[in-house]
Amino acid sequence: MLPSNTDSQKDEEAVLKVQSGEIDYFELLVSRYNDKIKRYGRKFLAGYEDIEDIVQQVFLKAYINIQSFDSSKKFSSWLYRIAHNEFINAIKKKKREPLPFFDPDSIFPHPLSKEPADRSAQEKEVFDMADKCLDKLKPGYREVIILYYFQELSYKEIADILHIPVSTVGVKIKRAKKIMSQFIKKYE
Amino acid sequence: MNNITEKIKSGQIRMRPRIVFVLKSILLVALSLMLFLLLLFLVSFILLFINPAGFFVFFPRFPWLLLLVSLIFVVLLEYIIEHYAVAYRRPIVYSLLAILFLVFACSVAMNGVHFHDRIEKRKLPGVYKFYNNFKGPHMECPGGCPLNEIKIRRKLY
Repeated sequence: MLPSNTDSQKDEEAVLKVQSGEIDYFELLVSRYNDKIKRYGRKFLAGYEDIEDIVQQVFLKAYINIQSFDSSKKFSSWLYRIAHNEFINAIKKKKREPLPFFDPDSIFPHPLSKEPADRSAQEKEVFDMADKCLDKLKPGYREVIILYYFQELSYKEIADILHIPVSTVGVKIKRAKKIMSQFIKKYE
Repeated sequence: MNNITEKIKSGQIRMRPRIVFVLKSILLVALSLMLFLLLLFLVSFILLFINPAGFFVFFPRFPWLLLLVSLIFVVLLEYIIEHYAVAYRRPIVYSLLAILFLVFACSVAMNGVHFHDRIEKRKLPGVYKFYNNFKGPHMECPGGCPLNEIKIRRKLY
């Protein structure tokens, strides 16, 4: 019998089943994350035509490489990492936006900018700003805003997805918000 | 979504076996280790030319090429270890400083036990050629001079 999406089975347990050959459980994982990854892709790659294909590629890559997943870690972070790589590859292919060879924000330590206890306090303001100018941000800043506010991931999860220090996540969010508010002030 | 499961069930898409990833990890560790050992070899050799008494004498003939190669190796090593959580969770400058400190400390220790003298005495084909290439011109000895002459000359200056 096919596992249903309402099953309380953890993602990591489902992955173990897939790794041992029960591929039906992969369908369960796809149904859990398909919409989330599509939303992430649509926001991050706004203006790109083939987002559906890229998202499909994310899941196919996840399946091909599923034996490399360490079940002691979080499956969602692992899947988002694959999605991040695919989206970055798509940007590189289209050459619409320049991408730095390395992330300058990750070179030096930043004073620890703690994750706010209540993210919803700033949500409305950020959503308003993002509606107007999210696409004006560089990919590195745009992505942290999407992952934190739209995908509701924690700083630590974002750090694991983007392979950057946790303090850099806080700094990037702060800078992205500043850039967006400056842009709005300039054009309103 | 149906497209994905169809491709998987029809066998169009297959998962890579675990052994591929295990071998890849082993290869990455082996590559890092090899780069680190090469760095130790080069940096400890370069350090022989840096000495408060003799540095200015050796300065014009300093092995800049080896220094450049060492810097490239440091960047490569940093690039590889950035794949591991222990490195990417911290700012790049930390892992870079850790590599440099480790290489420098080990190189000083290697020179303390006259590593290059010992290796040179064994006259291993590839390594011997390396010593001849980089030491001969420095010491103006056709065909190269034994490493202990560097030390003797340093004392002279």
